[in-house]
Amino acid sequence: MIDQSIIRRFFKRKASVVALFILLSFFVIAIIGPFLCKYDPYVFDSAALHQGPSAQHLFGTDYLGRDTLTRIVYGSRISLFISFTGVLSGGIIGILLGVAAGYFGGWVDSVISRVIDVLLAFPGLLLAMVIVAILGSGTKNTIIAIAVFAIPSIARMVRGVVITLRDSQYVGAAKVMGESSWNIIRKHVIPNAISQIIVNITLNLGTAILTSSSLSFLGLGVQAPNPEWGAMLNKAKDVLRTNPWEAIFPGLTITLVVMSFSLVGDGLRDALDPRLKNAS
Amino acid sequence: MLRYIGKRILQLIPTLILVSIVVFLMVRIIPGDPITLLYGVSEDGGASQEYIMQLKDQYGLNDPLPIQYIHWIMGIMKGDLGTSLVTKKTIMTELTNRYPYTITLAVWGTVVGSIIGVIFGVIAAVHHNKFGDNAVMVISMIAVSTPSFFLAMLLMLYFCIHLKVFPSLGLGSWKAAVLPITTLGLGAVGMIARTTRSSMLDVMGQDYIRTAKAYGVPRTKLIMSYAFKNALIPVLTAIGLRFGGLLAGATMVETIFTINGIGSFLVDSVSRRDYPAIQSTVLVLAFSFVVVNTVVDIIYGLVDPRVKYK
Repeated sequence: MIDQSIIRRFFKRKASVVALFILLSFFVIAIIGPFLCKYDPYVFDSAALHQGPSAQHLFGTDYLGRDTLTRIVYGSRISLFISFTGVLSGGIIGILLGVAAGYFGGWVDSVISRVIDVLLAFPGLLLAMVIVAILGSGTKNTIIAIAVFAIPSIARMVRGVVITLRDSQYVGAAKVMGESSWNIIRKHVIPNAISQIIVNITLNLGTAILTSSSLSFLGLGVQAPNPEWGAMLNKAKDVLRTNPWEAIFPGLTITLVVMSFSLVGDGLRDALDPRLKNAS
Repeated sequence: MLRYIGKRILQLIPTLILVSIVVFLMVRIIPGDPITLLYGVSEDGGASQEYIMQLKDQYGLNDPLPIQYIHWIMGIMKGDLGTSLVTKKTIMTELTNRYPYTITLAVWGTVVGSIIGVIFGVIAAVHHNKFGDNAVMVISMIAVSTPSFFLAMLLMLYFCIHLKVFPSLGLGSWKAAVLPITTLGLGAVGMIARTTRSSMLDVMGQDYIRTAKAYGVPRTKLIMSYAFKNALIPVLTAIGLRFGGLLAGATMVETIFTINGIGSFLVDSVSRRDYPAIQSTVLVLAFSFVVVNTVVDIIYGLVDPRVKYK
């Protein structure tokens, strides 16, 4: 599946390579970063409230005197964890729904398609907000909201791929040879949809970071004192006039990570499926 | 033509019914009931059991689900969206007072985003793979990746605090509306620019454009009236879809700029666990979104004669 030409095509897009490097650095930061920080992300320091960048605090401190850089490092764990678990679990459900709808057709398709339509009737962030409204705020429910948010787009995409494959000759041949539905899906359908699935999931990971930080910014997602990036901006908003750095560093971090996911997603799309190159 | 429009509007009805059922059920699947959740249980100083029962009766929460649903829908038909558990005001009054702000934001945000996005897209397509293309695409990539609340803060920082040209709160004057609308609009630029670009590239690669070029049609005319007109259809869809997104995006913008729109009402209701308010607000937003999408579909048919009215 992963052959040399795919890697070569991916590495031809410099922006995507840089973005991949940035993302990998964030993974490393999320894993080992907390061991390297000299400050505690939760302990107050009344002697160092609302400080700008300095030699002691490279990114300054927040309203409780906590080191912003330390909190961004710990926050990368939270943000990446939420986005990965949310998007992957939503992605798996979406893939199952899409395969079922596309492969079996008939009433299964009608029911699943209606569900997808209804999920898509809630614009953007609204769906995530409704879910958090129902389940309550907190990290676990934010992950559930992200998962539900990720389902419709991937389910719809997989359904489309499966429908075109279902009518293809080799799937027909496999059926005639008496392969079970499960085997056909596993051996013929999934491998053919995998490149689009990977691209969709990568792009969704970026959107998930945006969504979860928006929820936390509104006070509906990850709760204090956890150093979630969006939640950090919520507190920083009140001191924008006096200490803008409190907002700028977490904000730039979100933008950088989200942009990197988009660039890697675009690069993967071009590399995995050159036919899609100019399709937006 | 009229039959096509009629048909699209008829197709709207089952979707709206489904959406309303989902919104209704979503609020019902919470563990416990809204009244108990709001007032707490009597042991720890909450409302008494009788008071809770009385309130539940008043809100019809003791009826079976289908009856509750029918009551709710009948109420909506009569323009009654229920009463807020917290403010005790009718939700209809709240929403009619607030809806104009949200719509104004979303409409102007879409207009601003579309103008910038389309211009960006055309520039990128015309300078395909050259500096102009790359510059424009980098800007729109940054615009989609920046969370709206951060963008809003950056704009505030520069225009309200540094230059002091715009107020940072409310929606009192046109000046106060500039930054919220810009925030919303910039968020939409990325997708619209990308769609315009790829659609323009698609059209400009077609034979009739080459023929027109060979006939010596001036470049501006070629781009604007030959290519752009035909590239417009996917762009319209993108704009329509973004409009719905902006309705939700208005939530963030309203919260940051403290504008009393539907979005900020929803956020308040969510944090106050005011379920009747959440239910009705979500329904209104989802309905607006679905209706806008249908309108976009119909405009589609009007703009593109190739769409068959079947």
